[in-house]
Amino acid sequence: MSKAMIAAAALLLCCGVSHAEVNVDINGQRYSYTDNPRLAEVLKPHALQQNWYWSAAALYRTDTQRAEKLRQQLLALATELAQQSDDAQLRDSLALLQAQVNQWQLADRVNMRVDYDAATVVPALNPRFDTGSYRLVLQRRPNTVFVGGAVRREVSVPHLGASDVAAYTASIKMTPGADSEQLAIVQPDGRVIKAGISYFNRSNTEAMPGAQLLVLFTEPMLDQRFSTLNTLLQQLAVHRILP
Amino acid sequence: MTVFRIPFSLSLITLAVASCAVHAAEGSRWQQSPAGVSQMAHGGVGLIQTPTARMAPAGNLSMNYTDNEEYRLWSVSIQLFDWMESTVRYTDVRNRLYSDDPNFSGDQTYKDKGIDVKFRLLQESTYLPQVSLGIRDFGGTGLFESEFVTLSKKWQNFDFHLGIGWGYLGNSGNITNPFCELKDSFCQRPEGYNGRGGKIDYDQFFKGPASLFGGIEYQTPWQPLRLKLEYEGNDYQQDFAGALAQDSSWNFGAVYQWGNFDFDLNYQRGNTLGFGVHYKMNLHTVSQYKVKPALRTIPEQITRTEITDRDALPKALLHEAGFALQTAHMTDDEFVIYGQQLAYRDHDEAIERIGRVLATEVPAHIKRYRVVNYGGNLPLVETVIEAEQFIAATRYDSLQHEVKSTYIRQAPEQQTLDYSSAPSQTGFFAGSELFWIQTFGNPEAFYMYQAGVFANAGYRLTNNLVLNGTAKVTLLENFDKFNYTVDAQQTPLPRVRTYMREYVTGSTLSMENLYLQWQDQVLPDVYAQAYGGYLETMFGGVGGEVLYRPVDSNLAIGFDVNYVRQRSYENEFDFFDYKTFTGHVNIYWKPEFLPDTQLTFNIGQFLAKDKGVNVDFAKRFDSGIVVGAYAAFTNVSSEEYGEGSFTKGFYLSIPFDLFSLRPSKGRGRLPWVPIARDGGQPLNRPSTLIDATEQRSPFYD
Repeated sequence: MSKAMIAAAALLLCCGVSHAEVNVDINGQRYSYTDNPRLAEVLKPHALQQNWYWSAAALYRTDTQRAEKLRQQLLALATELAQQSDDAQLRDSLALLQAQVNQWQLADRVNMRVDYDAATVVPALNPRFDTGSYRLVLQRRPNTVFVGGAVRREVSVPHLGASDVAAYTASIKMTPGADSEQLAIVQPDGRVIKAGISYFNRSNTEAMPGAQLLVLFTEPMLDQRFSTLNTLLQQLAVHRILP
Repeated sequence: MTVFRIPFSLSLITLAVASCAVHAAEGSRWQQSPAGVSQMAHGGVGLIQTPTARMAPAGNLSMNYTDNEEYRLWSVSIQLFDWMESTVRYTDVRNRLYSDDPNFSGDQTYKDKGIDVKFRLLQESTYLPQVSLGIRDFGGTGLFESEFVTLSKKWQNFDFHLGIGWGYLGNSGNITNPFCELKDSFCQRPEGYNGRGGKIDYDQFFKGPASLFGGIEYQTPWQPLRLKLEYEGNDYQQDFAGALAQDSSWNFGAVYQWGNFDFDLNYQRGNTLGFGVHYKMNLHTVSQYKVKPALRTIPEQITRTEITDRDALPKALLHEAGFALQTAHMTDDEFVIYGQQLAYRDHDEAIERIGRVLATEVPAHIKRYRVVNYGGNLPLVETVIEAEQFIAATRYDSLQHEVKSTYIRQAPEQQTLDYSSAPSQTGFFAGSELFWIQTFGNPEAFYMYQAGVFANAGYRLTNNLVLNGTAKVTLLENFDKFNYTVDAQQTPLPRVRTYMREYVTGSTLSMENLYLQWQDQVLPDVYAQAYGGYLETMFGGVGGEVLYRPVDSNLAIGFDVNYVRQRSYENEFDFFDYKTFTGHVNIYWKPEFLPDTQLTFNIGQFLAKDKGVNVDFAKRFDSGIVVGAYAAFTNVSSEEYGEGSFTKGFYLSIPFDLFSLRPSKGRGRLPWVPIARDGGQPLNRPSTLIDATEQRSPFYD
């Protein structure tokens, strides 16, 4: 009898899962929807539970491999550049980058604004989910900024309010081949901007709490591949699920 | 002489509010922007008298007025690309008269125009400075003619500059010209100018005395204030205003930024106080607040099975999408609309608005919408919208809801055009435009103007045949100050354009044009027109044009042929004896290597029977403003041409949408023609196919 109950329950569970079209993991809690829900509907159970920092809220697809392909592309290019370089220090820098990128937790970030208040007011910010599996990360206002890229060790440092990004340079140990003139800032909302940090081009550009500061590689005039490497690095960082 | 036309619907009131409504969008960024670069006295980024290697952000336009005792300088400087700056300038020399003859120019002081360009050769990096090369006041009388190479290096809030200049910037000769060391011909700078002025005097470049110049610009801790110190290489002994006393080669000054304005105050030559006012805007980001209907919301369920209210669709299309519906046709699964876009210059916005109306007004089983856009009577573009995908995108049924991927633009299919007979358009029509003719730098007065109305009326005989006429009514002018009409220069060319003053000072009511015109699409992608009558102010005759222009192609090509006779300026209907064939092969090309740029080549015979090519370069900024320059190179020598050596000009084309609160199409063109004489002059055809077919592969809109 009890075996039959378990079997029936397993069958129901199986069928329930197979009928669900959209699965969303919100900060570890799983939800399934048989109809494709809109963003506000998905956010509703959690939206008012905490004082979320919506600028850092991010939605990822977990059943596609775009970010992983991008990672493999970046790793392959770094390997190629290292193999063709005579500069041992540069090779070490590229190896450090590869090790770092290998550690990154990635998922395909959906390029959209996630904000419950905006979604309830503006139809364009309340789109319907496509069928598939998702991970939705909501967090309170972060108090750190992550530093990565062409650095000896990836670190997270306290966020500095009302300071330009050059103020973080003391915490950055750049590797040989790093571009010391500018940083790429991957803001937590997914926007990427460049900011000068050298004595000649420093401008007042702030990093938002939870931002990633990426140290890029110097781009030699005649080798476009480093430019490609930098582009891939910036694109990939957008898909990162930060610890 | 330049003409600015404004459709009557945009009244003077609209123009009056425009200056306060147009705003730069930069302020919306939450990041603090740096104070940026500032303009020098002559216009263009620099210190006080000397240029630096710095460039303004791409698209920046700065209007400048500066004053330093002997010289008053008005200039406009535009950063066309991030690597190229261009400046045009009028100089008023206070202590020199326009001419020695008071009957000719009264007590007007001397005026001179100039053009500068500067190119960035190297961007600044940790160890290398920014490097730019520039040419100031090239061509013609060039009071400030110079060439320079300049370096800029920034350290924190100090920007250091060092340059070497030849010509005006190097008059003191504080160093030996390095090129003179290499070749003797560089030791002396040739006097005067080539031809009859207006040409680039390459043979003077980098010759004669050379000087080092430089300075420092300091951004003070108070963000709006910058301080400047400069050492200049000019000794003012060769100045047009006379040998000016120079107590010091060091100049210093301050610039205060207030919103989009810069105010500067400086002390030059150790004895002269100077000041300036500069207004800057960005041609990429300048925009206008709009009052327009909300986008129609697409309901979750569309249940409509038939069209019940036949008036609702045309009304909604007009009010919500600016689309004047002429006719419509429905098949089993397609809905086709034919008409004209009257308001939205952005094609994608127009299509989204049209699609949203169609999605809610036509039966739900329709799978495809087709929008056929006409320009006049010409079918120009067919946009095919996949209804299901469009509805999903506009209802935000997907996380990545891109509306643009749900439709394609194509040449109207014959089958689509055959569905419905072309909408009948016979009958009278009328309209009016304000005009403003202005001319700078005349002997009688620096600024002369004439304003009034072009009243246009016509009768459309068939879909393709139109009788068109325009009357010019002058309401306001100071052209009565003209103290001569035809100029005294004797050139062998027929006077096809130099009777300008006679034409514009005729009666206050005159016939601008009166002609019969036929236009049609003769083959797929090929349009043709023919016209005859009084075609423009100065010529009448017959002509025809053919243009091949595929949809969204970077290239359009065609030709026009005209037989024209010069109109009399003594009355409205007579002709003079002068007759000629004129016509060109016309090539319009948007090269991929120059973003948002159109090059136009008109190759053929011009009005004065001279043969050659007119080259036009037009750069479009994101706001829709277009800045252009053109020059005609024909087999007329500069001596035969007369003052200016050849025909050239500049223009600014501004969308009216930037001035009106409601979306609108149409543009005003502000030309600036330094000197126009008879060589290289085309017929001003009353309509051109490239304009009539703009929607096929839009450059302006």
